[in-house]
Amino acid sequence: MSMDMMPGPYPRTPEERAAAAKKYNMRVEDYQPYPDDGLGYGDYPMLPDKSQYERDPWYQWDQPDMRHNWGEPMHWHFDMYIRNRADTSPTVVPWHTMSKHFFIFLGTMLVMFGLGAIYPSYMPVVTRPP
Amino acid sequence: MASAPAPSAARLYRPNRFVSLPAELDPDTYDTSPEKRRAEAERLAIRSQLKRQYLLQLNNPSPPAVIEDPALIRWAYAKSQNVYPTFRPTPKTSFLGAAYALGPLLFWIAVLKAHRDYKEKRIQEG
Repeated sequence: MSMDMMPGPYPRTPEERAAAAKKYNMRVEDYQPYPDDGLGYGDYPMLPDKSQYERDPWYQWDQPDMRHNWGEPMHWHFDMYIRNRADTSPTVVPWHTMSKHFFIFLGTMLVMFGLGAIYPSYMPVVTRPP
Repeated sequence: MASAPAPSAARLYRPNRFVSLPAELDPDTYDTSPEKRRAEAERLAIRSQLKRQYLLQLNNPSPPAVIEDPALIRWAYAKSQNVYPTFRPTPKTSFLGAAYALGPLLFWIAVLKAHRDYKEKRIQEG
């Protein structure tokens, strides 16, 4: 592995972009580096944020547990998207519906518990004569 | 009753950073234009060349001890050794650096000081 096959700085000219796309085994149209914010990404390609769960389970991958092929560019957060960890598969219920239901329930319960702590109510008892 | 057409199922679903759109709702699945086919064919050509290289090494009668994956090496290099050369101080990175480095420190200083002052006040008052 020579140094020109390693990731480098952000590509500025179209020739550098084409060379970087070839280096990463991607088509020039597919290659999209991270925006040049100075955060340290360099010319690493920005792949769609999808976890390895979403890849076809029936295809003959070179590495079946990672669902990854030899030489295919890996996502920057590949170690997060493995099948033991974060999963971005489509959910049955849309995300905004789920979060709305959850936060309404949680908010209501917290408000009720808070009110119960501020204004406790208990059965009236008579103090025993000393 | 001239109302707007019903919103598409994809817009009702609203994929975000945590969930992606199912393939059935994505209009891209049903796109059979020649450009898409050419793109798929080019990707398949790249894929098959890589697979050929991999299988040549795998089925070698005297295989190497470890078949290195250049994508894995590039990924590891990019995340570890390529960050410092490509880092550049910008307003955003300086602000983030200050926030992540000094923020928790100042926060906990303030919390602990306030807590100790509160306890001290209670001790003084008995």
